[in-house]
Amino acid sequence: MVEATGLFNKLWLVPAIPLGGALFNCLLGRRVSNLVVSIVSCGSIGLAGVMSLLLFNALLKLPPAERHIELSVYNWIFSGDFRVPIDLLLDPLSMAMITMVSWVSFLIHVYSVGYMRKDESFARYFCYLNLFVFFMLLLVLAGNFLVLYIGWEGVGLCSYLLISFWYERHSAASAGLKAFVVTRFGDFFFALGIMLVFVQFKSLYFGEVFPRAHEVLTPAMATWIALLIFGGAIGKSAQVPLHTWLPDAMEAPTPVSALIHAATMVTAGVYLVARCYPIFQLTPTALCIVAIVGLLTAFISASIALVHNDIKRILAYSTVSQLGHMFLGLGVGAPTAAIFHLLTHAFAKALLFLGSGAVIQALHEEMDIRRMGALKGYIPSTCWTFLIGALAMAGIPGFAGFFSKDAILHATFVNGGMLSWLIMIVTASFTAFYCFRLFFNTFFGEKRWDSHVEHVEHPTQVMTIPLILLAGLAAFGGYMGVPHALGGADKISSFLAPVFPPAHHTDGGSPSKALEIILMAVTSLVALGGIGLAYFFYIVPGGRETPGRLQQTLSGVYKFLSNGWYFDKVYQVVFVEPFLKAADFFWQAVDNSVIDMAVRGLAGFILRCGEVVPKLQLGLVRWYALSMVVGAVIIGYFYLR
Amino acid sequence: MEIIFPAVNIASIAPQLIVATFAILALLVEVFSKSSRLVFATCLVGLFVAFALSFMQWGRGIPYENSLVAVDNYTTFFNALFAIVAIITMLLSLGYVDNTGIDTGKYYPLILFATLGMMLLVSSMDLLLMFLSLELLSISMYVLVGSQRDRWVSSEAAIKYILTGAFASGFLLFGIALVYGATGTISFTKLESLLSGLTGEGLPLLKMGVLLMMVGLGFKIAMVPFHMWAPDVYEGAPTPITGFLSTGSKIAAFALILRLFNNPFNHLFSDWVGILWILAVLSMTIGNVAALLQKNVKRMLAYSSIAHVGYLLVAFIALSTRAMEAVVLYFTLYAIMGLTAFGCITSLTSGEKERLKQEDYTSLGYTQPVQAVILSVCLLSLAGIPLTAGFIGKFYLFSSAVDAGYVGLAVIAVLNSAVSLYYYLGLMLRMYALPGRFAPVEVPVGSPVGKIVLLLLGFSILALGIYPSPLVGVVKGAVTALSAL
Repeated sequence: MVEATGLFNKLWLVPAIPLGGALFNCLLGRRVSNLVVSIVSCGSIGLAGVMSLLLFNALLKLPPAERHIELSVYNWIFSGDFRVPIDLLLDPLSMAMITMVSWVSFLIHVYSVGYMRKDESFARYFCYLNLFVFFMLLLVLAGNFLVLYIGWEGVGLCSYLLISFWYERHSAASAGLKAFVVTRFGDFFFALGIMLVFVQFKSLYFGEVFPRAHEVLTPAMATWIALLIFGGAIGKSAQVPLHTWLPDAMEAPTPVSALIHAATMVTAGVYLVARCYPIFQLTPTALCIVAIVGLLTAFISASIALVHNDIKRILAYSTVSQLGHMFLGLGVGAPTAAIFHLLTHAFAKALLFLGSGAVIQALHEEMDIRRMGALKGYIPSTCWTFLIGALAMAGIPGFAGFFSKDAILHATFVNGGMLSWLIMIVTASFTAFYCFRLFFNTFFGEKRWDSHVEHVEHPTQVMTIPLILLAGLAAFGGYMGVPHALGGADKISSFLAPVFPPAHHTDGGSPSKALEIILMAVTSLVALGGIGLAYFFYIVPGGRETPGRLQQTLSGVYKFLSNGWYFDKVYQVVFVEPFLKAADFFWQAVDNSVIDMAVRGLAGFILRCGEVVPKLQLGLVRWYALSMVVGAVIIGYFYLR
Repeated sequence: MEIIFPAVNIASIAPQLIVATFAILALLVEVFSKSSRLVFATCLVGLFVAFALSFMQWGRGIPYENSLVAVDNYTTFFNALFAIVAIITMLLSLGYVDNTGIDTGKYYPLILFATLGMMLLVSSMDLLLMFLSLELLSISMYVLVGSQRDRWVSSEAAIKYILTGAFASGFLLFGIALVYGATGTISFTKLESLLSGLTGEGLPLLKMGVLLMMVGLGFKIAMVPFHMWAPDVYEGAPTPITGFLSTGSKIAAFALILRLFNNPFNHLFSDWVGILWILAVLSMTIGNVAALLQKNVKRMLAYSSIAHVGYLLVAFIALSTRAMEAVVLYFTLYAIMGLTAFGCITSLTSGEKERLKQEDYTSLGYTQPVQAVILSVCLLSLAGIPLTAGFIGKFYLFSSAVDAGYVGLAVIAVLNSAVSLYYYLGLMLRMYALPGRFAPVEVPVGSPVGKIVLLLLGFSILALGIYPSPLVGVVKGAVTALSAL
């Protein structure tokens, strides 16, 4: 443990600056021009980004063993021996997260200035967005579970506010509600997990919990805590079976989808499991469950993405699938690979979402890829940056996603067994296919635009520059983790290594370079195959009828997939409808007749008392004096007895 | 005859002396110059100087040695607190006083005299000084409550307050006499050393004396069953004075009770636990239940302040250092909340018309957004919602009660807080309810100074809810003096 000194003492500024921006926009946003709002909000995130780079530089100068800086900002509550400190923790894991979060947020903020330029609630939007960044940075910098939970709930709140941003639209309002309720369901388990941690350790402080975890916890207790914490992660990171809120969350403005529902908030679950890895390592059962959930999610949602036609929903299911990859990585004992994938995915997916935002705006709120096409000639910069994002997503060698996905697949092969690796290979082909199905349908082929589209709206400069910068990250971001097998240094692994105890650290040294290279080759070929198939289906003139024919011959499968494996339907039948029926029953039979009587009786009684008690107040002074004497006599009787 | 002047260490009671001097000075100013601004300025300067002096006195207490006045961190803390409370009361009165026919030449100096009473009350180490300072405080308050002479409710409130107050003073004085009769001393330090060994015949007399004193002091803090006067007086008094009464006067008397039971009467406290337990429950419950259906906002807040006395008693029963810290912390936070709440009502007065009924607050959020937001923050804080000062205060109070083993009492307190939500949020809802038609846009009301003060108060409610530790540190320092006798 290293006490914070020098620059590290200013660590609290990283979340505080965006909070300042949020406050400014909240209090004064409506009174100043949009330009000022943009400068304050982008500037505050930019400053936080600069701050994080300075910290990064300072952290790298320390020897790896000392890269663990704790800063207790202040005690929120300090009563007797009960303390609730606001602790921050900077280690390689949170360092990587804040750098990514602040810079990706900055680019998305800049993009938003262009995207939201015509919106009436410009200041409200940036207020929420800044507030979100504050909570996200607080979440990843937290040094104890309570601060982490504050950030965790805070990002959930901002997510709700931003999904329902256009609250006049019924679908947006209900999507926000769905997201909030479903994630709350997971948060409930997380809260229980935190309470269990407190019961076991008498502390919520990471520095006391994790180092002592192996001596304090029995294996069964470790499993319970790990699973409860993972419950929170399932909700927040939209894993099967709680993934259904994320596709609906696409009602949010597109930059919000890029920021919250692709790059940052949804990865909080991955971060949480990585942060609590010392507990998960004690329990193979929990790790196994994490891996299975990740594997299922990756496969199921990739398959759903194959057939969807809504540009944002395809990306949403893709996000869910990629988050599944990360959990699989955590489950098979490769946390550094999972975090590496988290970073590269953030670049690529933010890029794809922002690109899709440009597309949607170009065609005046069109989201159906069947009514797009041929946009390459109209918005070329979006097209080429989108291509880079799709290549990175598909895992084509050289692009960012390739290295991180390969690290996860390799660990899966070594620790997870042949079957799960095969499933992931199939998933990889799905991924490549849907990315390029999206790409080809949007930018190539003939115009299938809706008749109301008379001219294409070109993205402004503030929108294209973030796209280009993110494209750079998506293209070259992977070089921070080139594996040893390819002669790289795998810098990200060695940077993150001190966070994860080496006992179960299996993703560093591979048994054989040859195996790793063979695995890579297989993955790459599969990805190329997926792209090829997409090319054949949607570009080659002869192949264009194939999707339609396939859809007819395999109509059962098609319906199954396009209904999202019937998750929502099943929930409707199994949970929502019985719940509503039960609610109806309880409302009619139990509530109205029994509980209401009781509650109304009690409330009525209290309110009745509210009527009676003041009536004792006659307003007569002699009555007041009498009441004092009577009171004194009664007290005196008990006191002097 | 030779008169021996006692050696007075003037520097050690400088804040009290300054307040007294400036109060008299202000009265003289009023005689020679008719400018009410000058009187106001004189009083304000006096309070600021007193505040600065108590700031400098912090940490420089002197040993007691049978002195009449305690000069310790506890006193210093409250000197500073009362100075601030008085300053805020004066600033909030600014526009209000001119419109409602109050004689400003007497009004501001009387606030200073009342403040002097509060300061001396907390610092007294002697039963006689205690009684005198309490009377100074009370009499100033009687006049202040009745200072709106052309308003019938104000005069009625003053009369009621004087009559019941005199009655309570009788109890207190008789109690003091009995304690003196039983022990032969009126000094706190001597009482403490005497009482630790006292048994047998003196004891019943002494206990009787303490009982009667508690009746008198219970009246001052408006504890059930001695609370009856509070709603009438709070309602009738000029609104800034209601704020002053419900914070400064109440805190001073309660702070004295803390000192009494920590030092001279410490050995008698065990008999009081059961009684105070019941009185705490009664104060909380009766206060909250009666507040539920009040049509008049000032009356509602009066009952709510009775409930808050109950919350304070919850922690007071524990009498541990931690509990004392919680109580003193809550004093400070409650002072801010009470001043804010009554300050908002003051600031919403337009001309002679005050907004007193619940209906007057409908859609206020749209017509007077600034006051509505501040009042909402204040109501949330009074209800104890997290991220406000009220939550921190209640958390410290109830957790120290739980810590001392009074779990049941803490549960009742939390349930009571839940009941209180009904009327706090009810008022808030009313302010933000969309009316059938938009109420006509009213011109902004309230003096600009008052608005600035309110903004600062509202901000401090939030700031102390998020970052309370500096204040907690100061409070800890103040409470150490209690056990150091």
